[in-house]
Amino acid sequence: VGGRTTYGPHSSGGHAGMGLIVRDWDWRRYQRAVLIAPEISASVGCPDVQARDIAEPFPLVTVDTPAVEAAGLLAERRLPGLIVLDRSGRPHAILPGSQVLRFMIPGYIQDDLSLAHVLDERHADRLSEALRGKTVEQLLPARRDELPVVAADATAVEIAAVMARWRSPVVAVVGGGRLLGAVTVSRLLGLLLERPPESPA
Amino acid sequence: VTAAVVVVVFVGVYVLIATERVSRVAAALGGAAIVLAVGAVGSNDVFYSRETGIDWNVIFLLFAMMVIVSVLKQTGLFEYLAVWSAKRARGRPYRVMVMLCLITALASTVLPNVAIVLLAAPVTLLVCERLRLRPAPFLIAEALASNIGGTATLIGDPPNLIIGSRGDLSFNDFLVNLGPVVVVVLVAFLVLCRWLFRREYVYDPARVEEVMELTEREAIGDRGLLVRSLIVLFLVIAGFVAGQPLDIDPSIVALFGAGALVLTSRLETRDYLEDVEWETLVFFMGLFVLVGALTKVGVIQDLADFAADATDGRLFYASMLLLWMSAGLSAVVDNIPYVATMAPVVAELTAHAPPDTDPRVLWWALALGADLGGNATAIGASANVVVLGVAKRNGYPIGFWEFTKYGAVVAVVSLAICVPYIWLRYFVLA
Repeated sequence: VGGRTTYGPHSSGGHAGMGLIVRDWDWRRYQRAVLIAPEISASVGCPDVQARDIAEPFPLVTVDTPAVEAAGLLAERRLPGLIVLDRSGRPHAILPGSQVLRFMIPGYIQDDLSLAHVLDERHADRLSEALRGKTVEQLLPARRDELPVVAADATAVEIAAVMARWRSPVVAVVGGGRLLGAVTVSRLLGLLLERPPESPA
Repeated sequence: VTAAVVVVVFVGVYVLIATERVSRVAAALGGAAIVLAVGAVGSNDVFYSRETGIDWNVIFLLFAMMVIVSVLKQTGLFEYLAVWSAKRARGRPYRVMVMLCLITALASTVLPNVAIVLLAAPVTLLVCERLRLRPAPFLIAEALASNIGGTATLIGDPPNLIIGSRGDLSFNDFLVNLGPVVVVVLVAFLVLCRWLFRREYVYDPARVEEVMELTEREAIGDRGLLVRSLIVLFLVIAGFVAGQPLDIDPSIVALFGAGALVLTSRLETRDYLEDVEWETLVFFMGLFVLVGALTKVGVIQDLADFAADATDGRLFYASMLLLWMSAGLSAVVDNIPYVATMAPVVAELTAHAPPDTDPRVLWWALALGADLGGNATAIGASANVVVLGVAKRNGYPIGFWEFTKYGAVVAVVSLAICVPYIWLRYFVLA
């Protein structure tokens, strides 16, 4: 995968239909804490939907991708986050847009929000300087939660639970040792709101 | 046997606190549990005795001041003052340092040191980044200034709270006796900074414009809250000053102030409790139980007798011993447990001081030694540790020895100023 931005399956961006082979990667390890009762799953109104059906092609970056390039991708395609692959091409982390902002905004301003008020617009223009010369690996928090990932047959509730648990705007979908794509929070919410549960009589 | 057990437990707790093998709260509570379990003290001693129990006066005063700082923090006042002062200094590094240190020291006289350095550090980093200056000297200087400023008043530094309560000393007593020497120490410290950090004042005049562009007024989010908070703070300070003639304890004044601020600020509970350091409060409680046990089994009396014999009733020698010993120990161990232990010893010494002397000099020597000695090393005072943490988190790590090489000089000079002050004021001119 190298240090370049690539795309997941079905993408019109250059690697259509190829998919990404994920060898020796036990995705179930990442799901052990999430238990979903079938009755809850049925109550949300979309019990038949599985992750593979709503997974979308998603831009992939590697840990070596330049941070500026990753941020540009988020901005250009209005994405909530990116899937980050490690050097062997396996899913490594989700990089949410908010994490990129955390890197751009100095820590002392995050500590004391009233300082954000005293800064002028010229300073805002310079925030992107913090990304220069950095890689995606450096943007990722030092202590990461486990990778938000679901199996191809995961239900909507399972996907929602994983997203909520890891507070991630994107969830990777894996099946047959391949990265099938990703489900974004907007896609999932759209689906959940499409068919609201019937009101009790 | 009980006395031996209490001493062993006490020493064990001290070792655990000093080596940080377990949290200081766990060490103090664990020790308190053991002395209770062996029957050295009982519930009456712990909860209701003024001599051997938890000093609720100190606990509630500390709690109230933490609530007050939680509300004041929301106003943006400190950020306003810091940016304003950096602009008044026209970005000249030494002037900026002096202004920031003066604000920090002044604020530390009425608010907890840790809260003040936590407020000072972010705005200092902002100004230094704008001027392309290394923030470490500024952060170190602010921690030192905070410890110096906090020495001046009853509420400035936690050890002073213990000394005030155990020694029955008022806010005014502290201000009148420690205020003058703290002013001299602060001036000397600011002059010393010119030399200590002389290589750090190189700056690019072109960068000054970046500081001048900061808009300090924007730091103040809610002007109404600021006005209400300043009125209450003024009334609290007035209450501290008037408390002695009116016989109102500082803790009561502070609790009224905290309550008034909570009511007038209309903040959410989590906001006004944000800066309450529950760990510190519980740590104090555990310590008071341990020291109470030492008092109950007679160890404190033995220590006081030993100290009285060693100094042969000579008050000046006793005060010098207290000053330098307190400074030395406070440089390497937390000054709160040290003062909590020494307070009953000093109380015994003052009770049996020779007639025609002012035995309160021992309290002042203890306060000056413990507070100013904390500047000597990076771990000598909570404010130092906090500044190191903030600096590291923002990518400007300050090493133990980098802090200590400046702090030790400042501590020695500060204490050297205290020696003639004590001698002249309490012995020559008394």
